Amino acid sequence: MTDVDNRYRGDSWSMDVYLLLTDENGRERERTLRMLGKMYGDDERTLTYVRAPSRLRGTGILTYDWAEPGRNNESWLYLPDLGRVTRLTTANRADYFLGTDFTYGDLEGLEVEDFYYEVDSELSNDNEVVVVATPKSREIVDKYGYTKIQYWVDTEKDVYTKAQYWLENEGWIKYYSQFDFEQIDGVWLSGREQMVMTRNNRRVHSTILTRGEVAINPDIPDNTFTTNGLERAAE
Amino acid sequence: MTLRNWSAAMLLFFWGYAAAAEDFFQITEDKPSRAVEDTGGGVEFSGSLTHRFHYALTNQRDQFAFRREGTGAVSNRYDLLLEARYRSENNVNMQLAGLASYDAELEDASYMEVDQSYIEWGPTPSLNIKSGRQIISLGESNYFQLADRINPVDERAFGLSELSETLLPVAASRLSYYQSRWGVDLIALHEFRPNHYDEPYGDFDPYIEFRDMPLEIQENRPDVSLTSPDVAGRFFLSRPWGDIALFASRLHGREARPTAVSENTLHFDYSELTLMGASANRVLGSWLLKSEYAYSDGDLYLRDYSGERAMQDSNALSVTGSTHRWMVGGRYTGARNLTLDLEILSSHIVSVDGPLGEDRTQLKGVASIERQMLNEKLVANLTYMGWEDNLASMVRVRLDYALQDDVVVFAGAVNYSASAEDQMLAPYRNNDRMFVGFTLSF
Repeated sequence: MTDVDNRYRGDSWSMDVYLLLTDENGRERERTLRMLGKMYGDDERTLTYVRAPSRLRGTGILTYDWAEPGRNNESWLYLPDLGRVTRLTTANRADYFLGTDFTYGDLEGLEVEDFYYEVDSELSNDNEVVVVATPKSREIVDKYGYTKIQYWVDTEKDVYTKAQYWLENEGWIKYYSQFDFEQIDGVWLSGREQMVMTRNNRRVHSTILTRGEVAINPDIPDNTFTTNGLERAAE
Repeated sequence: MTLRNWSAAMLLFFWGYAAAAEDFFQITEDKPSRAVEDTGGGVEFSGSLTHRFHYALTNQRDQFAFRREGTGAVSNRYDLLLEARYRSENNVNMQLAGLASYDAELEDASYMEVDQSYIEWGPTPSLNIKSGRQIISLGESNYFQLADRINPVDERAFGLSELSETLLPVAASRLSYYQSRWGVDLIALHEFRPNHYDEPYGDFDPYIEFRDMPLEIQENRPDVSLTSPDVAGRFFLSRPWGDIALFASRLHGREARPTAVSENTLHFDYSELTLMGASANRVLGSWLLKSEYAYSDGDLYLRDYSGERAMQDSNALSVTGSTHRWMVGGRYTGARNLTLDLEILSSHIVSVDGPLGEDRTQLKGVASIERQMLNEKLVANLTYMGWEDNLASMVRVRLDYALQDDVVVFAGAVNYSASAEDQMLAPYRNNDRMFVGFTLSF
């Protein structure tokens, strides 16, 4: 999983994404986001802001993701109604992002050192390794909301193509998968990701994330990843 | 096969909707994925239509000259906000916005105003200049304006809206210079806008105590313009554990105070004050602890005059003084989909001699708990605001439900409580009401 976590994703990137949220009655909601990121050594800074729907437009999140084990990430939220950038706590990553089935932890990536890993040799083959991740402590379960995760890792691309998340609540499981891979400037990217939330083997909600325009290694000024940059970008 | 396993297998067999785990990894929608909209330059249009209906549950108090005489509909208001936005490729943003408001229950039923309309330019990645009507928020508090008193507030329906919904944009120029961990904001305010209060004799008319006096009320608005602006500044520093900011400003208060009585006129003035302060937040686990301090000099405070006595004595009704204000609070996000906000504000008036018509030391508190449910379709909020010295409080419950992305319906109720001797909420104490409404965004 360290290889997956450390895989090359570009020194910087910008990406438009479209989210389709569907509830169990088939009712749909949509979100359009723009995501920017830049690496600073092993550290990562990302900026995500909402472009649609109109009701949420302008909401943005800036995150400093530190590679140093044990160092908490830093995060700020821009609230357009208040015209204010406010600090966010990052201890709890189990809350869901904008009503999707992705938690903040899912989107940022779970810390590799927070889990024990075991390879399921029976399910693995030459191209795909199945890894079972178990939280190291009760605090980690609370932090991410998962009691167990199973990954299907593509060993050529160093990405997991599928993952199954067991939630704390009995009977709740999330299914993640991604499709339509293509390599852009040396970075493997999927065209579509989906997360399906189930309860007792029934789908209760799903989120499909479709990638739009993407640029790998664009020239993004460092000041984009400041609180003022967050405010400017989100407006 | 045990009986239990056999039963489970039969249930799965008969319940057609139950699926194998592998099915959930398959593509869930057959239809093609929609394209992400173009995010390049060009003009974007957006807006919202909000309707609010308020029903008063109790009769007004006899001792004040309120317009309303019984229970029933008190507000039936529509707000239409239209925005046009242009973002160029060379770091220039423009926005034009207008707000039209109509309330069928009011005598002065409609008004229109320019909302957030500005031009913004970033000549370098570090430097940003924004000029026009805008909202500028520099403090930490979500409920009180301490160091940050740049924008007036819309308090036509006190307590029925969050601060975020009530901030009114003001014409200003803001120059911001930011580096990774620090930044400076310099602000010049080019217009004076007072707080927007309820109409005369309305439920939330702050001057209701003066309405039955045989005096004409005259407001003297300060002259703030492009050439004689109010000014403010902030230094911001971000650390891994939290943020710190220092403020200073010279500006006018947004709330008029009675200052003198002439022959047939009661004069109201706005204070001109110097403000200095600091704010800080600190991340501690799932808590964001926050604090804000402000020292103001020049605010107007009511002397111990009121009603008939005010008419008999033409001396200044208000006196300027200094105040220390300190807010401590925190936001807890450790429980799933739940946010708890707590803030306590302590104010202490100093350097004023003689008796005052308001308490020198005041303590207010706000507690708000918000729960998001059904993938954020449903948001439930319970807010309590209390004034310790005056034994007054306000409790509000509100539910917001997103029928669709662009249609949100809401409903709730507000209860006001005040002791008999209370000065602040006493006129409002009979304004308990229920409200329903919707917001259509486009």
